[in-house]
Amino acid sequence: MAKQAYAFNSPQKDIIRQKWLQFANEYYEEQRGLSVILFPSEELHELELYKEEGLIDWEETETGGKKITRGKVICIEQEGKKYKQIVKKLVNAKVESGEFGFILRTKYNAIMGGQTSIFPVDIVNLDYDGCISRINVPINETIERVFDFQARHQKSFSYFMTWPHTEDQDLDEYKNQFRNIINDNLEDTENFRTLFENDYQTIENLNYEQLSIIGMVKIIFRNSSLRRFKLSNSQLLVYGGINNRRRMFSILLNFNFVGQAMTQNQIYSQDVLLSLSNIEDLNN
Amino acid sequence: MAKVEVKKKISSALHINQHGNIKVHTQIINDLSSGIYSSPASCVKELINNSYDADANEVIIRVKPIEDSIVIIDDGSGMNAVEFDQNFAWISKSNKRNVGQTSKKFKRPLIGKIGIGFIAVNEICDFLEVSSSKKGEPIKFTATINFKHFRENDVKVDGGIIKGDYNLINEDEDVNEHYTVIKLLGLKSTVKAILDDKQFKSEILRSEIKNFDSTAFASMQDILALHSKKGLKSFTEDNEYLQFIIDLSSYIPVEYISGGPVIGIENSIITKIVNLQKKLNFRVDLDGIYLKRPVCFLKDEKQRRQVVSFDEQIKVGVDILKFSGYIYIQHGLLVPRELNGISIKVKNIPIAEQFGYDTSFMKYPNYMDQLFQNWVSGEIYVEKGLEEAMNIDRKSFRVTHPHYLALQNFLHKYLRHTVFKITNEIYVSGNEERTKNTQKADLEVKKKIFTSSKVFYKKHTSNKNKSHPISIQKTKNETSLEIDNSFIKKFKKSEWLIIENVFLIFELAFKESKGESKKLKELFYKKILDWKE
Repeated sequence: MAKQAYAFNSPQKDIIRQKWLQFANEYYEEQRGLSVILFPSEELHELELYKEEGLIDWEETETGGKKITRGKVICIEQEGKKYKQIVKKLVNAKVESGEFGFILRTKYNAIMGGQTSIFPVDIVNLDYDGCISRINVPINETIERVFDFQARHQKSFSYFMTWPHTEDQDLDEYKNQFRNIINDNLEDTENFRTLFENDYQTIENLNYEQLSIIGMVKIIFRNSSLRRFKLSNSQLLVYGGINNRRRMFSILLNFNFVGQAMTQNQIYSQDVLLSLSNIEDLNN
Repeated sequence: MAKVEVKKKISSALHINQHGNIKVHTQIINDLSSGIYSSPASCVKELINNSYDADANEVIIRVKPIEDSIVIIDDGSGMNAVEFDQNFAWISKSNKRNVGQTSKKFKRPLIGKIGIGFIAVNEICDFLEVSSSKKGEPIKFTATINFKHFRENDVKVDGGIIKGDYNLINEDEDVNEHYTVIKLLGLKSTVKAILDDKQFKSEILRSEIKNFDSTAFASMQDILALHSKKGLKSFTEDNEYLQFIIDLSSYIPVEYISGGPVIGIENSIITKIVNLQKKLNFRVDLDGIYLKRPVCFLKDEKQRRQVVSFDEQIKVGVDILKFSGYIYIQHGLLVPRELNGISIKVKNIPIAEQFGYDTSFMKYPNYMDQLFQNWVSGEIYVEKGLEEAMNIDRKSFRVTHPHYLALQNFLHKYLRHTVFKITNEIYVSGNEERTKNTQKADLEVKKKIFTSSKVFYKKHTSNKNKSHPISIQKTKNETSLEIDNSFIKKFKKSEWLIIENVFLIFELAFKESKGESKKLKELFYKKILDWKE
């Protein structure tokens, strides 16, 4: 368990952090250290966690910054004030300012051309703290690029995503894409609809949490299977929503790159079946 | 020649893409073409000095991880889109700072040339991204300047050339925020090669200086100590990455290394200078190291050294030239060679080519005190005057300007009547000591040859038998040598030091062999070998 105090902590978030570590161990190599893309915010709590667990190492510099000596860290931060603080604190990490999807869009050619300063990584941890349906670059484009870039290097990795419940702010287009993709998925094979409606209900009766998490997972699988990544582990979680804390969604997925060993359809159908496991409510 | 469209004025309107050009006056183009900004250090220092002028307390520079960019962030007063357009859209000679102009908050004498830094960087990168927020305004702007597009073909406008165009957008920001973030993107490969410290690090790992493996980049002091340990005579013999750091540090208004510039010698003028630099309250963090002025003469118990200082005020016509400084004197060649000279600082920044020193001592005659010129290093901080004598490039002076001539006159007199007198005294006392040490060492050698703890010399000028210049008298308690001085004079001093010992060994061997030539030969060679072991 991480020793330091987190600014916005809860027992549930602690659980999620421990799960991040469990998932990360599948791809982490001790000699080179952990490589991770994250939204650390100025407190760098997640990096402190990795340091405590020995997944990355750093030295303190003369200026009070941290010079990473083992591992590869790529930080993304939109807010100018926080961006400056992260740059000051992390001497040799790659720190990009702006929205993640936009950064991937502008760097597409460079990364697909072979530049390795950002991708590939062991973990992509997207910890959004705002309404993701209103970001400038659609989330499915962002997810698509992540898999493009990891596939470029045939790199297996962990994909984590956390985002708040923002049903009242989410665009209809965003909500509908979840319904559509779940529905399309249910038409793929005869058994899916039966299995699914036994586990949940019909799409129309899904609550917003279920719609968001299942829908998002389906979007991810569409992209992962297309690029020949096979799911090896998954956890679907919700938490928060009590004592004035926001309700949060969190997914943890580990993907192995299988390349041409399997077809997209094979991968997709197997992964969808795997992920029909329950969404866990950490409040319970 | 492309047609230039009339563009809308840049405004603070939010979330609208705006466009503009970076235009440069023809005269500035000549400066840029001369190559004065072709090194990354010369470009980056202009940007750092702009941050200083904007009342920044800290500048963060990130070059690592080596990829394709340099990021420079300051906590200065910032600017808005309109000011950006006003200051950088048309860069001309009139953007030069007015004499006496100071910064708004800390009243710092301004040192940068507005806009030159932005244009200078086009020599080393293809794109520049500028993002800034001004305190009290809830807006930040981000402008992305494209230089690459305009590099191949000149697009002329009245009096100048378009060097770049930019897209600009204003976004919301915290009203209390004030900063500027500059990113140099698409660095030229030659620049990346200089900034890549892998070669520097691998040199350390390969070298015998193992204790620097992990600390070589901990501080400026460590970097300079590493350079010193290599035994090189010049910064330019060392790695390009180290040169980049030192050249950059030479030209920005930062503090001295702790204890510097002369470790182990107290001087009130130096203390005053060091404290003044501290009071500027300006720090530059380059990849986790605070840049400091790279002048640090280390303590050496074996070396004779001294410091002299001055605080002067000279009337030059109706003007006053006010300055203070010091000169460091040591016995022997001063290294690194780039610090052998005088560094003249106006507004705390040196006016000189690379590394900040005028190695000619303001054109002190070469034929005078030639040996001793190599032993000294000095700095002069000009508080009043001399600004008008600077050339626009801030690397040289107009040598006919009265202020320059007055300072030159002072310095040359000071060197001749104070500094080189001291160097001469150091030299003479050093000579006496050297002679003593040489004699002592020689006596020890004689004791070894004769296997006697008591050996006495006697040199005389006449010898009854001129074919035997050396005679040895050995008793139970002592050995005395008589050597004909006139014989010594036939040889060079350095030759005689060896020949004398060979003659002595021959005489000893001859005596011990009692005339047997074979034994003489054996004994002679054996004693030579024993002597050299």
